Order: sequence, then structure tokens, then C-alpha cells
Amino acid sequence: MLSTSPLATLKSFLVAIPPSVIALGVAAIVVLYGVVIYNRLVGLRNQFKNAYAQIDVQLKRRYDLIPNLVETAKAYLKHERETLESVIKARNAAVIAAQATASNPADASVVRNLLNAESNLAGALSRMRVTVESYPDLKASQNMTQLSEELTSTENKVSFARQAYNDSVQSYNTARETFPAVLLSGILGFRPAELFQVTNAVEKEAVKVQF
Amino acid sequence: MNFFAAQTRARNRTGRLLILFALAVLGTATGVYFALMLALREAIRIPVDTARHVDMPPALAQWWNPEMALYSFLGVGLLVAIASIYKWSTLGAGGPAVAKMMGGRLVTPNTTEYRERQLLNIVEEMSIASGIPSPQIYVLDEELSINAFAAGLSVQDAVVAVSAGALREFPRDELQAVVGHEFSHILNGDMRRNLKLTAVLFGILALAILGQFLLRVLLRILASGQTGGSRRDNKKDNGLAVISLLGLLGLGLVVAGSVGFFFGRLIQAAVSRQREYLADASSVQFTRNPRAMADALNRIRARSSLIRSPHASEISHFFFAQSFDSLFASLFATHPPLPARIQAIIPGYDFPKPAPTRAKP
Repeated sequence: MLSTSPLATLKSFLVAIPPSVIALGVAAIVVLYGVVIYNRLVGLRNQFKNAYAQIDVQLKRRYDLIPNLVETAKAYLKHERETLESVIKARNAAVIAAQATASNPADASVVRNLLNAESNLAGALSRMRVTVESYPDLKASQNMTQLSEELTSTENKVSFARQAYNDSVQSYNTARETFPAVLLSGILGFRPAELFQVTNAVEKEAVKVQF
Repeated sequence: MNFFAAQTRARNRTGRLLILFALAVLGTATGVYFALMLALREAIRIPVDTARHVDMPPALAQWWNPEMALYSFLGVGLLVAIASIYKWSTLGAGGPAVAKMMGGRLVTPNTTEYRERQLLNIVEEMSIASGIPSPQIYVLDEELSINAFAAGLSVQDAVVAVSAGALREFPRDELQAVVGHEFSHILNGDMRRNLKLTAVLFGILALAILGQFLLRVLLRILASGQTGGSRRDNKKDNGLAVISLLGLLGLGLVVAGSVGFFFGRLIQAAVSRQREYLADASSVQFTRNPRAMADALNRIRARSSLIRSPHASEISHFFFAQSFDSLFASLFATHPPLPARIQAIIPGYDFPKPAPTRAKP
């Protein structure tokens, strides 16, 4: 059996440490915590930056797919030229807007332009879908079903890319603003990030549609 | 559905359960310590009672002996560690290996099957929503029930397998909800966590096996009648002491090991159920479509999710829904009951009859 209780031994050990060592110890813990916070914020920031790049990738894929869709539909929709043409026009406008945004993502007006172009495109596609519904031959053709699945998927991907971006921005902003990280985030250079807002209801409807 | 809050709840509960698991392991080690002390004391006592001038050594005079405690804890720790490492090495098959074991067929990117093409698209979409790369996709052609699983120890090694029944019967959005659920398992390392628990539990079981071994040795000694001479003498006392030592220690190990294993399994099942809630909530986060997730679960209620493959029980934790029927269903169930899962997503769900899927080309 021990001659003294463990608690007494611990107490005498603690009392013997000089205050300067204790101060150093506390400082070391603070620095270590700061490093942990920094690394975490860097990780989250890189995550949302990467998520932003994904949006652009998916937008491009969608723009590339639309001309195929229109070509396939053209043979059947001989009397719906206007509908098809509006889709191509909206698509071209969106391509230009996307390129502008890719080179200057921080500019709010450029982004707003893109969102407008996107909502116009969504509207045109939606009208085209309604038209296709009344042409059962076109709707049933294998080319059309496969293409429409690809288009649905691409639209979903754009939507999910934006959602993933917003989710990661939210994670980053929350981590940045909670205590105790909030004390250090300003000093360490972590600025709040912007959410990618979808303001147009039509745009929201166009995605996740099943044929 | 407030999926972020639901995710936090599930994560916190997992943390508490893992602490409980650690306590169960410590409890088992404590049980072994007491068994050892009991065995030694009874073994020593026999010569003492027959007044052979052997005193109870001071080390065993009281129940608390720090040195003995240290040895028994270290001994238990070593045994559990070795057994766990052994079990991990046999269990840790990669994702593709598990998929093939279950009879899965890899879906290649150039597939011409419409539904498989759609499945690949769905997987890519979830990969974007969740932020992890697309895993390999397998179809279980022989499984006609509705189920899916994720396997693999890391994000790079992960696979998702979907039963033929699921591929045929789920509409696009429900299939996506199921895939999203599996992505959550991959993202949150649920397979790896579960295998770690299984490995440690095997270590606990090893204690009980050791105890059984000691009891068998004891039986052999008794059977051969080697307990000593017919007269009361030194040999007989020593013999009785050995019997007492082996018997009590063996029994103690069996009891401690079995009880520890039982509670450990209970906790493992509870952890698995929390990870299922987490996966459901994460799927809703990825798809932003709670109705699809609830409908997918509702569809399974109407149909079966039981898997035919004999290997189903091995990887039961990884399936989307309960893959086998068990006797103590609720205690050891790896998944929460379907109504509970649905209510967690949509509290006032109306449980409609699932609409049949439209035939696709």
C-alpha cells in the first residue's frame, strides 16, 4: 500500500511548479489552439472555393448538352420553331454570362447577370418540355428519353453544385463566427463568404424535373 | 426537416455511446481483476484452513491490490489488443471485395441500360452534393428485395451496391435518396467505425474463450484424478488449490468476457442505429427532398428488404434497411424501425400506398 494518498502527492507536485512555467504552459495551449482553429478554417475555406469551381463545370456541361436536345427535337417539332429558337437564344446568352462570371466571380452585378440568364434559360426549357409533352412520338423516342435524362441530370448537377457551395460556405462562416475562433479569425485573415442565392422561383422549378 | 440539427443529435449520441463502450471494456477488465483476486485468495486459503502454517500473504489480504490490478489490466489490455488486431486483419476487406462477395456486378460508365445509366447519373449528382468522389457502383442481380449498401474502409476504397429490386422499383428521386444515404455512410466513416467496434468486441470474446480453455484444462485434471493422494497431505492441498485457481479464474473470465461481449454488442447496435438516423438526415441535406427519403422508406415497408445472400449478416450494419430477421430484433437491431425513421424525417407522414414506378425504356 502507498504511504501517502495519491491526491496529496499530486498536490505537492503542483505546488512545486514555478509560476513562469505555468504561464508558459498556458501560452503554449493558446498557441496550439490557435493552430487548430487556423487549420480548420483553411480546410473549410478551400472546400467552399472548390465547390464554387464545381458550379462553373456543371453549368458548362449543361450548355453543351442543350444544342443536342434541340437538334433531336427539331425533326418532330417542325411547327414549334419559336420555342426551339428561344431555347438556343437563352442558352447562348447564359454561356456568355457564365464566362463573364468565371473571370470575375467576386463582382455581384456579373453574378446577378448570370442568375438572370440562367432563369431565362430555365423558363425556355420549361416551355419546351411542356411542348414535348404533347408530341408522344418525340417523347417516346429512345434518343429523346436518354437525352432528357442527361439534361435532367445536368440540371440537377448545377443545382447540387450550388447547394454544395452554399453548404460549405455555411460551414465555413459558422466555424469563423463561433467562439473562440471568432477572436482569432479576423487577425488570421478569414473573411466571411457569400452565399450563391437563387432568387427566381422559375429557376428553382426547372431543376429536379423527371420526364 | 432540420437535418443539421438531426445530424448533430445523432453525432452527440454516438459520442456518448462510444464512451459507454469504453466503460464496458473497462468494466470487463475490472471483472477479470476481481476474478483473479478471488481465485488467488481461494487457492491460498485451502492450505491456510488446514493449518499448514501458510499465512494469507499480505498482498492478498485485502481486495484492493494495486500491483495485481495493474497486472490484470495490462494482461486484459494485451489480450484484447492482440485479438482485435487479428480480427481487424481478417475483416478489413476492401469495398470491391465485399461487393463481389455479395454477388455484385460492377456498373461500367459505358453501360447502355437506361436504369443503370440513370443510376450512374444519380451517383454523380450525390457526389457533387456531398463533396466526395464517386464510388464504384455495383448491382446485386440476385437480390429481388429492395435494399442497398455501402462498403469500404476509406473514401477512396468505397463502393455502393444496389439490389436489382431497388433498381427496378424506386423512382428516380427515391433512388437518389437511398444513394445519398449510402454516401453519408462513406463520408462519415461508418463502416470503419463499426469494424473497429467488432474487432474490440472480438478481443472481449477472447477473454471468455480463454476462460473456457482454463475450465477445459480443469475438467481434464479432474477426470484424470490427479488431485493428489488419498491422505490429507501437501499434494492434495496443492491439487485443490490448483482446481480452485483454474476453476474460479476460468469461470470469472467466462462470466466477465460474456457479460462484456453482450453489453458491447448492445452498444454497437445502438451506435449503428444512430448512424442510420445520421445517414437519413444527411441524405435529406444532400437531396433537399425529405419527401423522397420518406417515400423510399415507405416503399420498403410495403416490400421486403431481406437479403438472400448468406453473407448478409456479416455486413448487416452497412445495409439501407434491416437485411435479416433476428430474435432479439429491437435490442440488437442495426436499424431503427421504419416508422421511426420516417417520423424523424416528416413528423406527420401519411404513409400512402407506394405508387408503382412507370416503366422506362
